[in-house]
Amino acid sequence: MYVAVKGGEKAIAASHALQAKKRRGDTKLNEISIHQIEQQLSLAVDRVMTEGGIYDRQLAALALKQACGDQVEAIFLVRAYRTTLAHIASCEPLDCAKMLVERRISAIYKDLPGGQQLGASFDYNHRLLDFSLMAESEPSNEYPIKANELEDEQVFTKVFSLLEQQGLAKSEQSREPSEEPLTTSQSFPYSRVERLAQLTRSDEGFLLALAYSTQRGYGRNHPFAGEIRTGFMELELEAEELGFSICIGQIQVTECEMVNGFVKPEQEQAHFTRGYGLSLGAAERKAMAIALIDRSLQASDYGEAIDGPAQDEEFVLAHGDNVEAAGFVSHLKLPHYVDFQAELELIRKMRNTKDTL
Amino acid sequence: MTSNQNNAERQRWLRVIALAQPSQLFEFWDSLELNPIAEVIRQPEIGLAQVKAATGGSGDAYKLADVTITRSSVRLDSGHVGVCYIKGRSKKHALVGAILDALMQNRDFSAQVEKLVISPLEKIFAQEVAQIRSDNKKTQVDFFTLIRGEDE
Repeated sequence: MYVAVKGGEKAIAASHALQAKKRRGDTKLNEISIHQIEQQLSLAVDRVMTEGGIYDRQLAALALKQACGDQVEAIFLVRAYRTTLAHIASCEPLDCAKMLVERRISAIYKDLPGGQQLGASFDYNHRLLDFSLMAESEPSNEYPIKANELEDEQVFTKVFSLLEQQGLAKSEQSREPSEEPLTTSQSFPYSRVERLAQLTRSDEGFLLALAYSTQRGYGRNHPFAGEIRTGFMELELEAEELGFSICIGQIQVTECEMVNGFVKPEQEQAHFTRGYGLSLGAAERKAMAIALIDRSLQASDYGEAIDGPAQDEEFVLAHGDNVEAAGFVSHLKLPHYVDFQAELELIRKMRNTKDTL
Repeated sequence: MTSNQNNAERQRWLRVIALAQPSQLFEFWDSLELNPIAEVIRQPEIGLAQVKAATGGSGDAYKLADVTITRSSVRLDSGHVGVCYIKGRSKKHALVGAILDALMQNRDFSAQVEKLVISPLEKIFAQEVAQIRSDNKKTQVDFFTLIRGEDE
């Protein structure tokens, strides 16, 4: 137990001032701008948006600057800001079949409509430090495009639609009315959609480790990366003044659909099972981890034994939020003077009576 | 014209306004050199809109995140009411957007606004989309599987 203490205001103010000084670093160097962070550290921004729960690149960049690059601290800042704004509208659910695709790969079909498109990726990279980046440089623009070069729209068919057509996977159909409130219930078990909402905001590292654990045998999933796509989606909402839906802008998202081990229910043909993950920006590792955990948490739906941490809903969902986790771990820094005094007294008493043992 | 057609046209220009880079929008807006008398019905208001996803893209909806949005509405002295909802927190974008929406409904101005703002913005957006397609299309791969020498 910790106790309230008074005082220390001056020291705290000085500590914050010192942190601000450290944030600025060497004043002989240019100060980093929000715009630079947004543009040049875009994957850091994507993570803060996904786990902070707001799509706003500028806010996420500001949070990263303020937090000196500490992602969990930045996520906390964004979450706190979020509580200051009112919900004034709701967008239509995203259907990534309509995506303006940058990247689309499938590990299960070599040739598929639309093709395999790598987009921007670290994959196939040798992970050698590129010392040329230490010098300031302009990116090479090898691919200028002329205005009249507008291309025909390329269609990237969803991989799962191919499996569904052959009856090899069940199609996902909306069962619940869309007016259903999208709040999270207070007690376990959660529905799949409540889990997905929470997994999206969960810590990437935590989910990644759990996803990895399923691959190493703690609750096998038999996953294949059916399809991963990154690109832009237009947001639509029905404005109350208009009564019809309008586009309000576009956001970048990454979607991962995993094809998982098949089941053979009674009176049904054998079919594959599926896991789904969607993240903001180009957070591909996160989308993959969500999809793997989405499937591992469906264990009970398929009558599978729950023998790995990644299959234990309460374990995963109660510990995945890094703002909550950091908060509880951080509270150990608060004064526990009284508590510790009690422990000290106890241990002293035990030592004084040692002779009697 | 039926109201559906009207709605479709309005959806088109509202989309163009929403997808525009604010600086670009303001540049075209300035080039119009219009100073319409507009009553602000709703001051630009920043808030959140829920972004939903659906399992497999078509299944049950869930809450993915929120997005910051700004909305505004105005009434011109001609009586036309303009509405604008945009992603982000630019109050000026929402306000200028609402005025443009009202002007586009007014036959005295629509042709001029279409020519100097909507159409050019639409073209710029189409070019951005084409650029994204073309840049990424260059990363299309043909993976081929190798036979590992088991069968000669």
